[in-house]
Formats: sequence, C-alpha cells, structure tokens
Amino acid sequence: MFEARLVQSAILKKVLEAIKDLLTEATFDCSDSGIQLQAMDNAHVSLVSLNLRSDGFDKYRCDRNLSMGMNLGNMTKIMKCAGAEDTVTMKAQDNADVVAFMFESKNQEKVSDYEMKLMNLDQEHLGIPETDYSCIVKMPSQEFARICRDLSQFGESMAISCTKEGVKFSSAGDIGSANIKLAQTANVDAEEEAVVIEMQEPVSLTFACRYLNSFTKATPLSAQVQLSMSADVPLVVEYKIGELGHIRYYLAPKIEDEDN
Amino acid sequence: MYKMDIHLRSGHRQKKLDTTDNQKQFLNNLEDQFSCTRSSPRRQNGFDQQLFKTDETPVAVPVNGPPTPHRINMTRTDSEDSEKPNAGDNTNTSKIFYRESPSTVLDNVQNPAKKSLKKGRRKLNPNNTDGQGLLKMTANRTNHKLTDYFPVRRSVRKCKRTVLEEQQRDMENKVLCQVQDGLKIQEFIGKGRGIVTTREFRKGDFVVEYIGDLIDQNMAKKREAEYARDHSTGCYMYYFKHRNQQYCVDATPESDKLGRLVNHSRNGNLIARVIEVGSIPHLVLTAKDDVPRGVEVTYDYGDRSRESIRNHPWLAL
Repeated sequence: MFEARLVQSAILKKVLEAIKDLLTEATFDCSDSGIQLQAMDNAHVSLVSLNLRSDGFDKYRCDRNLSMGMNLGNMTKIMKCAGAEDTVTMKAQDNADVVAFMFESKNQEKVSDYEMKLMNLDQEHLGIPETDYSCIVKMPSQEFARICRDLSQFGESMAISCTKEGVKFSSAGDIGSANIKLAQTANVDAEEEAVVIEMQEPVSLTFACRYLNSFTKATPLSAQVQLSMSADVPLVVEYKIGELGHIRYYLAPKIEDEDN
Repeated sequence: MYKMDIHLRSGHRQKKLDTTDNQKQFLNNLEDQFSCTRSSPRRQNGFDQQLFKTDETPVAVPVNGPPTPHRINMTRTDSEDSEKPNAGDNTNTSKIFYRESPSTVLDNVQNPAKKSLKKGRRKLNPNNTDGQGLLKMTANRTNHKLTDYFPVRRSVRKCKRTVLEEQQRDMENKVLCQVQDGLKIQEFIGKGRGIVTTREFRKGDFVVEYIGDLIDQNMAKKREAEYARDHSTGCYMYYFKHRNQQYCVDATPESDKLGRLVNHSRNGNLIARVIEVGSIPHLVLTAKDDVPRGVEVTYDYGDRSRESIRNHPWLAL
C-alpha cells in the first residue's frame, strides 16, 4: 500500500510542469524514504533527478518499494483537474497497475477521484558520483530564467563563466552577441535575492540554451536556484522544493568537436 | 559538423551466447567428455581405476614393485563440487541492451535546421536563424551525452551463472599468476613443515595451487620407483583423474611453491579441485570452510591403503 498526501496540490502541479518539458514519461520510485524520480531526456543530454522526502508530505505511507511508470502528459491532464487549493492524495496498491489521485476541496465539500494506468518503463538509472564542484552559484531563480530566455535569442549555446568577482553568461549568433555579468552581492539582506558565489577555481563551460530553458520551468518551485559547475563535468541546476525536497537537472557541457 | 554517435540503446534485448565460457565450464566439469589432450600413451591399470574411486572406505591397494610411502589421491567429493557450475548452463541470461534511435533524436542532433524549427514551435527561440549560419563559437561544439559522464547503474545483483563465471575466471587468473599470498611456512614438531594462513580465507576461496610437474601415469610410475629408493625424499606425487585421463602432479623436487607443503588431515580445511586453464588441468586447493588467519591448512590426501597407513600412521589422522 502506498499513500502520499500533500495539502498543497499546487506543489505537485509545479513539479510536473518542471519535468514534463524534458520527459514524456518517467518512473516514480516510491520507498519508505520518499519519492524519487530519475530520468534522462530522449537525447540523453540532460537528466532530471527529483527527490521528495517522505517527511515533507502531510501523510506518507509506503509499505513496499514501488515503481510507478507514468505518462507525464496524462498525469498533467489529471493534475489540471485539481483546484489550486485542493489537497491531493496519491494512492496505489502494492502490485497495482493503476495509481489513484484524490483531490479534496478545502472544506471536504468536493472529492474527486482519478485513476491512471501505470506503465512498465525500461529506464536506465545513472549512478551520479559525489562531486566537489569548483564553482557554486546561488542566484534568484527568476533572474536565471530571464537570462536563459534572453540569451537563447542569440544562439543555440550559452557560455557560463564563473570567477571570484561574478558570473558571466554569454551567447553569440547571427544577429550579434550578448553578455550578462552578475556581480556577487555585497550586502546580503534577503538571501534569496542575492547572488552568492563559492569558488575554488574559475570555470567556463558551454551549454545548450534549449535545455537550460527547459530547466527554468522549475522556477515557480523556488525563489533561488543553485548552479554547480566543474570543468568537463555536467552542470547541476538545483531548485529546492520547500521542505519537501529538491529537483536537480544535470546537463552535459558542449565540447569542442575535434573533427572540425 | 554535427556528428554524433547514434549508438543509442533501447529496450531491445538480445541474447548473447558466450561459447568460450560455456565450454570452459563444461570441460571443467564433465569427466565423461573425454578427449585426450596428451600425446603420451595411456595405460589403464585395473588397480588405479579402483583406487581413484575410493572415498572414505579404505581400499586395499595392490602394490607391485617398490612401494612409495604414500600418494595423494583426489577425493571423490570435489567432482560433486565441481558439477555445480554446470547447472543453468543452457539458460543463458546475459543480455545486451540496444536503444534504437528515435527519429526525433536524430533530427535534434544531426539536423540543426530542423532543430531550430522545433525551437520555434516551443517559442523558446523565436528569432533563431537556421543552423547554417552559426557563429564560430557554437559551430564546432556538440552536445555531449550525460552517459559519457555518469555510469549507467545496473543492479549489483548477478545471476548465479555470472557469479560462477567470475569465480572461475578469478581462479584461472590466480593459477596463471601462481598466487600464494596469505600463507607462510611453519615448522611443526613431529611432522615437519606445514602451511599456515596469514590472512582469512572465505569458503570456496582459492588458497594455493599444488604446483609441480604434470606427468602421465607411465612417467609417474618410473619416478615413483626412483623416489622409493631414497626414503628421505618423502612423497609429493598427487594422482588425479581428469576427464577420464589419469594424471599426476609430481612436486617432489624442492621448490619455493607452497602447495606441495600442505599437510594431510582427514578433516582438513581445504579441498582439492581440478580446474582447467588453457586445456591443462591444474590442482587447486580451495577453502572448504571459512579459514581464519593463523591456522594450519590441511587437506585429505585421500590415501586409505593399509600399506600407506602402515608406513605413515599420520595418514589415518
């Protein structure tokens, strides 16, 4: 028996919005410790890693480990049926082939039940090693989304260079080039609005804008985003989901093609 | 410009048949799959046949010619032991996964023009030019896959077959390298040298190989007669039968190999097995149970003949 209850269904909606751009289907691995999801996009360039801790739910029960393969498009359709103030409960039997979503309005006047068929997904799991990143940039998530959107107008790729002074985002294309520099915030009043850089050594990496733009779909989940970079390893873009957990995106850098 | 390996992997499974490994196991275990690998003539002696079937029950050995003090015979138990890996041979479970390349992926990575069209639809990049005119900065960069950086995690649980294959391979390697670590020679009062562990061995572990000259029966007879003349030599002739062929490992000449110095005990903590490495049989002493460090390792020489026991009372121990 699996049962997870969230008073704010909006969180689940936002989580779904944050992943459905990259993934069409994914397996939710439910265990005693919570719900995990890890999946790569079709091209295997990026990876989504979602972690929702059991203690972050308002009620959580998972007797046996359970993997639920879901079509995210269909799940979105169901989640759209939930009101903004509704409480959502996900339920599944131990060897079930369906998952049930129950939405309850605030004063229990309306209870809606939806069932969705589960899928058997043969997905590869990646072992992500613990890495000490050379640069960790914390910045307002809105700001990051804005930068990604703006720079993707100029080119397919975006370079992110990080030094002690600040972080520079740059892009170039037919119409010209774009550079955005963010300096480290001197006085940190509100932590979420600050740009904070922890740097061991400077890093400069190039990434596909397309994927970064997809990552920024998680912006509504958190006011702050954390970018972790090291030379020649994938970038990590992390959004915290309140007390519930986090969503991390991994993106392989673009590398000079030796053939050219 | 946009080159990318399209060896994407899909859920398609294909069975792989690893014939060499299969053969190895078969060869190792099936005694009745007889094929003579040695060129020397083989002579069957009635008494030897009887001798090698002996187990616990003492069998009188008709000894003709000068008796050698004792001989080491492969006990029967190991053949039962070595039959185990055979199980599940026909159920080949190793699979390779291929992932077909969905056309969308192809389009995305190979055709920049199409890619930009896609982007247009996504409204991420409304003013994007088509891929032909990319500037230098982006032109010669390709998206790398995440799988180049992070290993695909497979279950660490292995099927029995894989485990056995690994054990076999490991043991072959140790035989080839003549591994004999974790052991030392120690002098025992009353029985001379023996081998003592300096580390723990787990049940089934390779401990040491009984290294000597691999000879056939005729040669063994000649040498035995020769050795019998000098009573100080002791006997290091290990007789065994492998795939219906009678062999003997003669370790009589003094060497730095430890396998020849392992003493006898009817309730030893080692067990001898024959494993084939490169179609040559090798005698391997493996741990019968977990062996702690600092204890003497022994195995059953298998010689129960009255003659031998009379000469060497310790064989009855």
